[in-house]
Amino acid sequence: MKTTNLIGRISLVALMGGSILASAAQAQDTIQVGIVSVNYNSPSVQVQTDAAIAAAEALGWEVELFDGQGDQVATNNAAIAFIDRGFDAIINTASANPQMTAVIAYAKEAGIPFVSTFSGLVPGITADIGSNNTADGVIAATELVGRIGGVGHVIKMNWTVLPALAERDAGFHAVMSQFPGITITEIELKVPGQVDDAYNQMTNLMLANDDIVAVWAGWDEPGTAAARAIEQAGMSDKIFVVSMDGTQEALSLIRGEGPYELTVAYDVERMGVTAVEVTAAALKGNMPGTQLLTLRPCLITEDTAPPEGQPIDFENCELFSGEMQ
Amino acid sequence: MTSSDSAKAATPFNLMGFLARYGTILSLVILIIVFSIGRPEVFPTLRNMFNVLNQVSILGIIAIGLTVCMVVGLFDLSIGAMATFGGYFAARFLAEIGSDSVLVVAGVMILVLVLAMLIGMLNGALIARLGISPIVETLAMSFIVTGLILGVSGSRTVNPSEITMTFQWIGQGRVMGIPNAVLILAATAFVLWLFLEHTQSGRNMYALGGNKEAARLSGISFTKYALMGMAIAAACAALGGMVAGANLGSGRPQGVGETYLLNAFVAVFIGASTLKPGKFHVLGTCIGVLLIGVINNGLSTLGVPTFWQYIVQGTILILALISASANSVRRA
Repeated sequence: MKTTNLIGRISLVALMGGSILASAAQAQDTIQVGIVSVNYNSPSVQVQTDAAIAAAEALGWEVELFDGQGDQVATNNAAIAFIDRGFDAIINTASANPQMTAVIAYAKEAGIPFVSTFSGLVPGITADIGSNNTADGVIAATELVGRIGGVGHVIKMNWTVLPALAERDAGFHAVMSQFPGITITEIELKVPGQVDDAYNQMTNLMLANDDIVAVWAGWDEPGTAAARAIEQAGMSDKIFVVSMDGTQEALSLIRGEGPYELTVAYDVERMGVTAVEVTAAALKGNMPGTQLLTLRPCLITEDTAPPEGQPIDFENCELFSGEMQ
Repeated sequence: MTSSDSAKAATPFNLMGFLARYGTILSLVILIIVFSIGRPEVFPTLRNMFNVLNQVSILGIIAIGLTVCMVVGLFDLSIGAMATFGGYFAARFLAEIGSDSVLVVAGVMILVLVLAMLIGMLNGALIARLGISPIVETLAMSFIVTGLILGVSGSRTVNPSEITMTFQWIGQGRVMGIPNAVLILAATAFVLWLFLEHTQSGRNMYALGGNKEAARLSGISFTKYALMGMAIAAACAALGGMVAGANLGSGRPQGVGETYLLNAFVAVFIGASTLKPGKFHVLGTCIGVLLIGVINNGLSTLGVPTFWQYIVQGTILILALISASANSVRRA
């Protein structure tokens, strides 16, 4: 009886040991990727992150997501923890790379790829996938200037702390510097609280200035809040909004009769997928030829906005209003 | 003339005492005058006054609720999360139900308020029964509530197209030209002022806040009023969040309440150095809220950069606290 028990116990231990070794071997085979995002809650960041997760899982990778909820330090700590745990790569979705230099250096030291989306160029990254934000800022500003004939009072709302938004800002200023007939009021938004702040500032500005003709918002979130303030003030026929991102909320407002005139929409879903493709290639030793990979955006106006629930056709869309005629 | 009358007549004007009581109101008046001179065609207009009130209404609703729990001597750091809770769940429930009926909207709002009150009561019970520090407990509760919202929402915002027009009207509509948000603020302020100043429960709360042990020996239950104070604070925060959600036409799972948390405390502390120095009260909080609104609106209409709004607001708070502490020193 005792012998049977002993054999049973040895078999159990052997089985457990075998299964532990098997899972350890499997874990070694499976690629583990840590995705960090300082603000996963933001609609466009969420789309690119979800797309990256889906693409990585489709490749059979193990993925862990960390949402910093606005805390850059916590985001950096999470990325470092992923590296310490032996993850094979880090993907950063829209957290400012200039604020992650320690993580980037640590990833380089560990010999693993650090791929980001919409986060800016910093030495040491494998690649950043995004759009040419300066050019996009120029496009939105040019479309705005064209619609007001190069004259009038324009409100610019932005948060230039984030590299991508600072680049769009530079594009805006590059255009505006050529039009002395345009008066600009610049608002640096309070973040967090950007939606409420954009709404309140817009309401105040409309009361204080009856000559406002247009709003250039650095991204769709404050753009939609400003559009709501304009609508509620009954000024939709006098003031319009242009922005960048292409969130569902912005598309919904552009489809309507309100003041939201256009947005430069990004293929954020493809950015997430491309981040995974670049990571996969880097893991095989194929580094990208350039550290900044830009994807083509679309100009979305009332005429080109896709029907409710339909995605934007980034393959065939136009980027310039002249090509829509 | 009696001897006491002559003593009163002989009392010299006490500048420190005057500033301690009326310094905040004086600051408010001075700011209004300065901004009115700076933009006479914009700032002092009736339209802008309603605009200021509209912009501070959400903060005001939250801060007035916070005043009640601070009267009992408790802090509530979960009001930010509760505001997000109110705005998100009201929008989400209405989006799921898909009905634009006034009764459904009212029912959902009441349900969310009841849920918020239950969470507030749980806060109160943990603090009063287990003796946990209110700061730590409510901070922990804010984490739980935030996690709950993010878990339920999957971090996804409820978009305007999913939110009924009746709900949006609560934050965007007007009655006789007055924004609904302002009316909700006024109603909340009136009810809670009445409750704190003119009911036995309110007086008991002040007694507990003044000297908990003495109040307890007089037969006033701390547990009962802790539950009540925390429930009111949570409900007001959720109501403020719902008005914010209705105003912007979206149910955001994050980034709503955090905006109001610190300003609510600023408003309550400014209020405690107004009219009745050292005492939290609804009227004082309303003045604190108005002061913040006037600073933000006035500087914004003057075209002053955002960073100045932070600096001026901080300076006013320090001045208010100095005047309150000067009064305490004077009394000692």
